[in-house]
Amino acid sequence: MTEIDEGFYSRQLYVLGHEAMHRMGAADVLIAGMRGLGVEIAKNVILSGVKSVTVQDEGHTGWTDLSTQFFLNESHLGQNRATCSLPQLSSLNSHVHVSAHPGPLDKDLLLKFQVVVLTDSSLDDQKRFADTKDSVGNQLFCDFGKDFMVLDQDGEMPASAMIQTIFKDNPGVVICTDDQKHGFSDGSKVSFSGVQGMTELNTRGPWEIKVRSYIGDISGFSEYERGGVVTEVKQPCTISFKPLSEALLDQELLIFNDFGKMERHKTLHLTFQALHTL
Amino acid sequence: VLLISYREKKRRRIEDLTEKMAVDGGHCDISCDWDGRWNHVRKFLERPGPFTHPDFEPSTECRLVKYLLTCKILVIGAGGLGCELLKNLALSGFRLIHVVDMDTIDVSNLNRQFLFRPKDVGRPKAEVAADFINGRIPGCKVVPHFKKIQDFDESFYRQFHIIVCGLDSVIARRWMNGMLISLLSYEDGILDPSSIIPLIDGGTEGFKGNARVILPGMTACIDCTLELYPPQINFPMCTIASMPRLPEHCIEYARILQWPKEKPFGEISLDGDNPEHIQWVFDKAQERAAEFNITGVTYRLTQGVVKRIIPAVASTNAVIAAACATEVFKIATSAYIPLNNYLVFNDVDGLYTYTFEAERKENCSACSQVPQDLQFPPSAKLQEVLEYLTENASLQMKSPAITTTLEGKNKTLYLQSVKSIEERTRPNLCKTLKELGLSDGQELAVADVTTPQTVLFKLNFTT
Repeated sequence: MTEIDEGFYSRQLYVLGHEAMHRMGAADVLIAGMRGLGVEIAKNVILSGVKSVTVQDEGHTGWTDLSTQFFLNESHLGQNRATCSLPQLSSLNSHVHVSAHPGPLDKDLLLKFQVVVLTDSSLDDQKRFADTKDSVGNQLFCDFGKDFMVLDQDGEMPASAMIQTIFKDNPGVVICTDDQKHGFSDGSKVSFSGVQGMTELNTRGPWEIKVRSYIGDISGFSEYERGGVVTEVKQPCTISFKPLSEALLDQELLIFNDFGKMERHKTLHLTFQALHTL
Repeated sequence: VLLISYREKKRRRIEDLTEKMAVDGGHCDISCDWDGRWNHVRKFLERPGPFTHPDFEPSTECRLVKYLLTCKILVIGAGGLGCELLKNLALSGFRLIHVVDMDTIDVSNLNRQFLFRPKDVGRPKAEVAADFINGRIPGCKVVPHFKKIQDFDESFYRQFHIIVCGLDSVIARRWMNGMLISLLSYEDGILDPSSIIPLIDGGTEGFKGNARVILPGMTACIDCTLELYPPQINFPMCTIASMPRLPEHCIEYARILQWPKEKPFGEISLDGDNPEHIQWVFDKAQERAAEFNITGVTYRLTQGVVKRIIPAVASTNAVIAAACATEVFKIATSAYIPLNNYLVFNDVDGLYTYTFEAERKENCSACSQVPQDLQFPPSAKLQEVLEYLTENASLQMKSPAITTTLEGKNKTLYLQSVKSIEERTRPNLCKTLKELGLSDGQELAVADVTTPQTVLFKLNFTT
């Protein structure tokens, strides 16, 4: 795992933390379409520090591109948009490998990436690629695949409590100090640290608990002496996403957020599809 | 006398405007543009639509585009928001843009402020940003000012049609707000609309941001909604000293209590940019954390707490700057109804936006024209007045200087910023208002860094 450049990323590290930054640093991202929208997405993704970004576009720079695409200029007219954007995009962040793909989009290409962003694609293309790919984001649609793992469901600090004593038993019983609610529930998983005496607890786990806190067979462990903290271990959960072609037909998925305009979200939904038939 | 000065002011303003139009005429030439350059903008301006302003009349004579090209914009701040704003405004067709920023480029800017490269580190932000935009957008002329906003006076700010702020400081926002309010002219209590310069203000922190449109004197100003800003996080001293629970408490303990006591580097104050200083605080905070079984003290958190660093990501700046630039476009062209008037954005959990109408505060100390009252008994000490000015949620002054007129002479009651005057006036803080010779109805003039103008308060004695 490569080190994070703390000077360069300092402000962002405060938002994301090291773990998320390391995960981003392992991602290969494809951004299709290098017009005004695509180049903005590419710029922000490159600045944020993924492993690599590939920008794809088959088209050539025209006069109208210069009005909205900040990294193209007059000298690029008639040349490939992705290739011409490359020097400016790659100078944004030396930690990210940026490359251009002037050829067409196909399934084999898409399968090389963890995240694919389509801009400027026809609805047919969107459906076609959405069906082959685990991970597609476009316009306002996100499909993270059938088995998308959420490591931390609420983003809260893991609950923790200080230990008063532990009874050596099967199942073991942990008594927490009384001055605060420990915030665990049945089925929570926990880990231990700083326990003296019964030090096996510090290195094994996580333990599934019941409240009052039985933690499984520890009758063979050393005697508990004192100290220690018990901390919740976050459990991943899996969420299943529908591909675009299914989601398009599913009215239930259209969640409206404005009770004053009950039908508007449906109208918008159809309008966007209609745009692709023009 | 007052009335004459307003008239004079108004006359000057009209002269300024006329003069500016004459100057702008020179820039108005769009014939050099390539065919279709402004098509993307003209689509908004040359055809009617269901969402356009009710009074909007589309025109195909390039008149509106020309207006866009002659509109003079001031961007305050060339940081995360400023870089995005300059790019968006220049691509939208604005050509006369000034940018003010007092900072030079730091390595930590490079992962958001996309107009800067490693070779630019140490150079003024405003100048590098202006060079980049001017080199990229033919015909666009960004004028940089490597200065503080306080270095300019009314005559500078009055030349602009719209001002956009991308700042990271509430004090600077309030000062800018106060400056635009001071440019307003009233005749018989009626606001002269030609003296209004709209202020678009953007702000971000991490995944959260806001954008707002302020028409000074007409809609809620920065000081009207001062309560919305979170107070600076200061942990209670007793928690820091005896009952720490969070890693931040341990860092504050090392910073506030241990540093001045142990003086690890002699008689110098803690410097957040000095790695040795941060390391010292970090080590001490870790010791304290271990003592209280607290986890989570890291070098990075230590630096963040000491320097009060504002977390930032590129994409939030892009979203908020886009919203602000859109508002500039709407106001400049009058083609669409502007944001009314406060948008909040948060994409930390899904994507949430909400727009509400912030309301004017009837007795706002910045924009209301209502005399400000101070209610104190004659036995109150000047110290209490000072604390009220700094701690009251709708005033939140930083280092107020209080002067008044006694027996026909100006008298400084307390002033903090000049050392010799502070020493001379410090004894006044312990005196009662009566002892200072102040009477019921006395006018106190208060100056502070949060406003370019002095604020007048009327002292009302309570019993």
